[in-house]
Amino acid sequence: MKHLSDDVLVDLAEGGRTGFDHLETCAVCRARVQAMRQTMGLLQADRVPEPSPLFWDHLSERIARAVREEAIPPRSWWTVARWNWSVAAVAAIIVAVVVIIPIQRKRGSVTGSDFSGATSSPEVGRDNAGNADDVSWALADAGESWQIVEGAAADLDLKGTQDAGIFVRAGSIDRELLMLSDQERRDLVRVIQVELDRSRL
Amino acid sequence: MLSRVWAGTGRSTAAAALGTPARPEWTVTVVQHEPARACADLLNGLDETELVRACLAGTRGAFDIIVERHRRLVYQLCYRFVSNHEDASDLSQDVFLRAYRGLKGFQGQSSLGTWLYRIGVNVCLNRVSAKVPATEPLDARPHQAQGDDPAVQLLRHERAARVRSAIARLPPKQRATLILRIYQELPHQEIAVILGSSVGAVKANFFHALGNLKKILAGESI
Repeated sequence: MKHLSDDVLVDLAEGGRTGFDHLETCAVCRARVQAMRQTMGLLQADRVPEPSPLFWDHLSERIARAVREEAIPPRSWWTVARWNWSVAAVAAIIVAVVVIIPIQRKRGSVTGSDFSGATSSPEVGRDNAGNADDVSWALADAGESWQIVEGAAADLDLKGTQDAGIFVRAGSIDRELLMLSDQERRDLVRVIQVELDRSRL
Repeated sequence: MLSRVWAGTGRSTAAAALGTPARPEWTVTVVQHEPARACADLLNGLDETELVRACLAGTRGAFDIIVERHRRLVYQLCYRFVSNHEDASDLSQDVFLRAYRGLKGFQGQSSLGTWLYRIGVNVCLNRVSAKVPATEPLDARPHQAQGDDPAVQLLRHERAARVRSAIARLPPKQRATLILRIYQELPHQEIAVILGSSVGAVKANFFHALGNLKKILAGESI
């Protein structure tokens, strides 16, 4: 008598196939199916112990930390290059504003600020900024082009700049932007706009 | 989008002591408001392909969602290979890390779960071939069923330990097939994709795995 093939026996043991009259007449195949079912039952009785409910969040945190520490991000080279370029460019400009301009100002190469359109007093952002309202008012009333700078500063991912190797103190960017002259602001807007346009290419 | 909050003013202590006109010290706090939650909700609503695309585009949090969706199945798979919680945790982390590294190679031809299973099986087989798994002591197992007779529990655990030990003695492909079929309850077709073989080969492996297991367990008179 010809016996059933292995894959048919597997299907029968799993209950995936029915209607095989052969089993009724063949004791060997019947015993095989029975033995397979028995072994499967023994295996299925063993369950994975459920870990603590806190374990899952802990595992996710571990994985997230490990992923963050990965040196190579899972992106194509051009995405990485474009992203790094845009972040580094904007970050470099802002760092230049934070670091270079105050130095120039100390050397006397930059003359007093002039907030035309922001206030009639050029000193609002500098010496007379005695409270938060004055400062935020000065920022809010600045010219339309200033919105681009504000937008760039607001959208700037500080973590991203740190990843690019540039470290800035929270608040220092806003403070220095506030103290720029009209001409400096116009130049900054122009340079940032050029860099943003280039990063979109 | 980030919103900014002006958070107060103050005079420097040194300047005040010297009686010099103090410049205000401004603290600007960058606070992430509702958009963060909205972003998480948005990511949660994405399907697998979109999540992978978001990861590749550098969207922060997209990979966390992938981990959250698949961590249980990956952990359980790893546990079946090593039979202890610590190693299973380490292996799970390794599986996801490898997945992250290889995400750009994910073609979407199979589901993300199948792809993770494939990575998981490879990682686990590599580990177990290099190291004999140590079954954890019975009292180290988390969340044991309460209320059972201790003697019954002990018997059950001993039996489980013997079964796991027997599975560990199977050839790698038979072992992987058995785990994926019995414990992960995957269809033969999916197992074939994971192991890179045919459905017929999977069924043959499963058949032989059960046969070998029966012999091993009979030898130990379970």
